Amino acid sequence: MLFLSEDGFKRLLNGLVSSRNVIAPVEANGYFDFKTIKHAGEAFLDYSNTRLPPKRFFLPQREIVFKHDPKTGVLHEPALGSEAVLLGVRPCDASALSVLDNILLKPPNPDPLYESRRRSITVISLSCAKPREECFCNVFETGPVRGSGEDITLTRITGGLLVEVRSGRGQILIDGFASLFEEAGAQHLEKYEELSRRLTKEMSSRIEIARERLVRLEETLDEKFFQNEAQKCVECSLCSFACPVCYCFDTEDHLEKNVYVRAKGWDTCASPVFTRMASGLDPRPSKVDRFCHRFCHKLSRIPMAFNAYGCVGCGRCVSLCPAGVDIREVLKRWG
Amino acid sequence: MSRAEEELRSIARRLLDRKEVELIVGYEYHGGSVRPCFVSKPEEAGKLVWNAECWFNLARYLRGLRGLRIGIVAKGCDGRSIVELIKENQVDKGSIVVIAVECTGVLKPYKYGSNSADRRLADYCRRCVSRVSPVADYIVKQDGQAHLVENPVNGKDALDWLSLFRKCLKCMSCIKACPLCYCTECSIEGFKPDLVHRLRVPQELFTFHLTRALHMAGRCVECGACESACPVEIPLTRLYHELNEWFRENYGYVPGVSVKEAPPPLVFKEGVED
Repeated sequence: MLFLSEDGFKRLLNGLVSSRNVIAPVEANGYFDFKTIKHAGEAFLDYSNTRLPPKRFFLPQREIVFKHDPKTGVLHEPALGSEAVLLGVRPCDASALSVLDNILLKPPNPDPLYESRRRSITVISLSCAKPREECFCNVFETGPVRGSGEDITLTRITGGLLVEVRSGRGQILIDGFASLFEEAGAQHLEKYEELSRRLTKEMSSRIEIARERLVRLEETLDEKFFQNEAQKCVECSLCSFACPVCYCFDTEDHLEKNVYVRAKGWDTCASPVFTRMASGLDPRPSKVDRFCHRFCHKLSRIPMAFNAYGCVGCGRCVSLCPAGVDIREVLKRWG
Repeated sequence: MSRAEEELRSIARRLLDRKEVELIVGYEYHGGSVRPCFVSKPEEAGKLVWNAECWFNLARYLRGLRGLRIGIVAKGCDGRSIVELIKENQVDKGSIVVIAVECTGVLKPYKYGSNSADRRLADYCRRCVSRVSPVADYIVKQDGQAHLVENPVNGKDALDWLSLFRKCLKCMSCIKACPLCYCTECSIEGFKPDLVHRLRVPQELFTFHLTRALHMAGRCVECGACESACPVEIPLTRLYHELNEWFRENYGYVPGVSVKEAPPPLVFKEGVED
């Protein structure tokens, strides 16, 4: 572990902004969102969390998979990710990237576009100082101090920040600013332990479940419970658009100035047309089916297939749902 | 608990007790906020709440609950959308009991990623035309609270809609939260014609929003549910308000005010030419 003083952090931030493309949380129109910053002062690091997760920098809402010119017969490959530093990601959102890594980087279906962006963006996480009321990252051990998909973990303690290097990419970045860091002393580590204990205790007082039991969700499905909950759902699909893990996509072909373009982008299982096939057959025809599917996929099928949970406990779906559907109620019932 | 809330609960309890309704659609506490709830047992009526956090328009649920006798907690604008739904033959007035709650305006919802200091009256509430639902079986008055609308704004300052639409995620929650967006074959979500595709961003954001705006013109009751549900806070109600203003100026029609007043686009007199 390394220690970085507040002053050192300012200098690191200035150094990063002047030498790299830095994406950091900013406040705009009353809510927090990630944006490319030009000056270190623009970064708003004392924020709760961003309204939308940083997922879009790795899985854009729309991306071109390829272009094909029928006249020349040339196939244009898409542009690969450009170098950037994603600063101030909360541990839950960083952990969501490691869940996506499990799904999108490994066989049988690795996604080269995701991989190229994942390679070119260095993720620096920042510990949560005050978890929001909707947060439940303790359930999946994705925070509030340390996540699992980041390259560098920053933890704010009194007087400075503790720096933990989590990957080779993180090490390269740290090496470039080596003079700013010092080896963390015992007093720093003590503060870190204390913070970690305090936050974990605070979070587990709100919700604590045995998550191993969640895999049974599908076999022990309580239809009455889901029917009641689904009655409120308005199928707005905000839950999947705001989820840092949801990765389902749709593809679409079209003609653009006489060039064939195949695009890929976000889709959502809450939409009634998501599983409707050309024949008209739909394996998930009712709202209750789609509603159940969301929870079963996240909590039972992803764990079985990819050895990771499809939820990181960021609480966005809980807070943004206009009907107040709460995944914690599902967790409490089955966990 | 306020006196209004107490009165609301006792009305709900009585309705369920006497089996006058099978279900009450209202609001309940959820964490530090409020969410919609369905109450079917008299002993559950105690969880109903009414305060300035209740921004969701519960009339959204009425079509889905057809066939049941429903009691609904309605703000002024919720009531206006019930009026529109009755006029459009989507809801049978005989099967619903409206518990009108006097509204002093709702707060802009405090959602994930909001700056906590920013708790203010929702913009659309400043253009409110009715604090109490025009259809009401029961009226719950607020206890002497002043209307939260202090400085009515005329809302004429120009907005850069192009850059606002550019933020849109096409999650379509504006459509889904709207009580009056009920087409089973939605012109935006449908594939024939493939007018707007979820993947074509930002290409079709203007088509999407303007199509919806035209469908809402002269119908929108400006309850603001779309705007409050929107994750990127596009002030959609402003757009629909401007179209409504055009209707008001040209036809003297304000949607949702009276069940008897027919919407001008639906009035067609045979043989009349002008």
